[in-house]
Amino acid sequence: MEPLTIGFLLIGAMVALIALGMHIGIVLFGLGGAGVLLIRDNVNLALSMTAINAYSGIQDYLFATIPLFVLMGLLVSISDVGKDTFDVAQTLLRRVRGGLGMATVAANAVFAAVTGVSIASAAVFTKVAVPEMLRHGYTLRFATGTVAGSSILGMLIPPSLLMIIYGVLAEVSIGKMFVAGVIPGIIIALGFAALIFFYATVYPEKVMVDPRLDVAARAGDHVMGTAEMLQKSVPIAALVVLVLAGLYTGFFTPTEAGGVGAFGALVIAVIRRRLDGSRLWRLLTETGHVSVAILFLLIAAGFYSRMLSLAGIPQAIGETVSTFGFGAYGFLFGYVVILLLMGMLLDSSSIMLIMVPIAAPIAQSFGFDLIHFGIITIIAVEAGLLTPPFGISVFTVKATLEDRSARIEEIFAGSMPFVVVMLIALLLIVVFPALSTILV
Amino acid sequence: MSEIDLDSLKTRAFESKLDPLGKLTHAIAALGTIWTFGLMLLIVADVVGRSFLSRPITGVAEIAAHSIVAIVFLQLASTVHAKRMTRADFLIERFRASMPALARVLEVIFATVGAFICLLIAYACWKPLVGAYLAGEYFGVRGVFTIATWPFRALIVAGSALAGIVFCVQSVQFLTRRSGEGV
Repeated sequence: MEPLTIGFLLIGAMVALIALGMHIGIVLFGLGGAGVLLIRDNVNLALSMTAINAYSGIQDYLFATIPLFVLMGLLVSISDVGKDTFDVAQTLLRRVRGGLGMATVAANAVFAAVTGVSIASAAVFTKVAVPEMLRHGYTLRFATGTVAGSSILGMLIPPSLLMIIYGVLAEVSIGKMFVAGVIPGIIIALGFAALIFFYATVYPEKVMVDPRLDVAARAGDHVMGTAEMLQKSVPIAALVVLVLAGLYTGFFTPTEAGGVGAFGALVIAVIRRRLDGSRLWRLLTETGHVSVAILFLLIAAGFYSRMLSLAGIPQAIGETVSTFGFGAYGFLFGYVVILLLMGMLLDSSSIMLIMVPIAAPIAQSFGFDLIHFGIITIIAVEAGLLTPPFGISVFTVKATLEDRSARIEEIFAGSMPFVVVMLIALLLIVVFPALSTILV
Repeated sequence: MSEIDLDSLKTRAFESKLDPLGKLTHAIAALGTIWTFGLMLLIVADVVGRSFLSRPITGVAEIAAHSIVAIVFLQLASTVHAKRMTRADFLIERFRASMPALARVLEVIFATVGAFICLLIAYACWKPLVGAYLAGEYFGVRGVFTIATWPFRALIVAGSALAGIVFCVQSVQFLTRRSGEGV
């Protein structure tokens, strides 16, 4: 058989096995090995490539960012840092129409700068922001939709786990990916705020059950003074400055930023007495499980991507796309559609691991800047976290919600407008690459 | 899903419910956990030493890189045991509800393949381990600091073999467990 035929058959097998529920790392590893064996007909080569991937494949300074940022995200999640940010934003935006919704977006944007995972944001703000919005008379659909929608900022505003994974797979600088994500993240956050203002002004009945509830609730609200606001924002501001400024000035490598950030988050958690010995231990164990799952996937994806290039798959797809005359933007359109479809079924890191090794070489041959392409990839993948039937952010909101009567369809419906805003932002970033590359 | 499970932070004393194999994998994973924490402290110490005392720690980058190998393979078996390896469970969840027998067959197959792949990794890494030990392979800078690579390679062999055994046990469990019991 031609290497190319083998490669495409293996991609078909991969899709089928992953859909049936086989562990994704095992699928990628197994097919990587099988591919090398079939293409080269050499058992020893397949074995030695396995060994190389298991050792040299992850023996990389950059991979140390993964456990460190996961640890940092977990530590800030338990330290009430998210709640404080929300409280401050709530006080600041209390006179604005739809202010609580915007406060959720704002708090998410700030929280995103200290955590690299969307799910952590979704869980934290479901507990903090949803009850507060309901008390103020907001509809459940709007409240949960806003939390689910704005949680994706966690992956768009650096530091972000997806950017680390993309940087590794596409072999671009993670530090540059972080910098490139800032403007798109701000655009999307502002887009969300504008969306909330639009709804609150044009369709107030979709946002509020009864505006009188809001007036009544506000009368009883505790309005913070400047001193209290400062006190509540200092810890998170310090962390944001430490991590982001360190990264942007080049004073920290991404790995160092992760280490220092995790340590800073640890100090905050200890000062706030949110951490005893057994809790710290469980948190570290959870960090281990999350990072090992991702790192094992990365090893496996490295093997699989080597097999793909051995079979000549990226080149073949690139040529096919050009022969059919789709051109660069046709390819990009097809790619984004595939990412959105996969986002309905898989989690974001798995999608990246499966798609980026195939797509990045093609994108490069079409003349796309790989950093620009990475930001496009991440926004499309994150939009998938909000789309039915398996949008994980939405399920996290549902699982964390105290009120069990909320239906999953309702949360999906509530987050749909946020997906539309993301797709508009995606289009903007495709058309104006400078939005992602100007700071780099 | 390789996503964070915040609820796991609340469960108390989850170790006590584990079977012997679970206890073993958990104990080994604990080494990886301590290692992660130590790595964080090492990086902070290097940053502080470099910026304020102008005394950087030599070799932090190399040590961090090799630490990742150790951390992954120390915790791999425990991650398999905790059923936290990333997978897409949307179809199999439906089978479990409507066609439990099919779901069970699939689970047995998946665990067996998982065992096969993990044991294959262990097997493939055995020869390089012996080679590295005999050749005295090291990383670092000669005369400044050198660390032998064979312990790291040994962790890969041992860690993936243990993960393979955990998969084997899970495969047998799926095979012998009556349908209707929780997974």
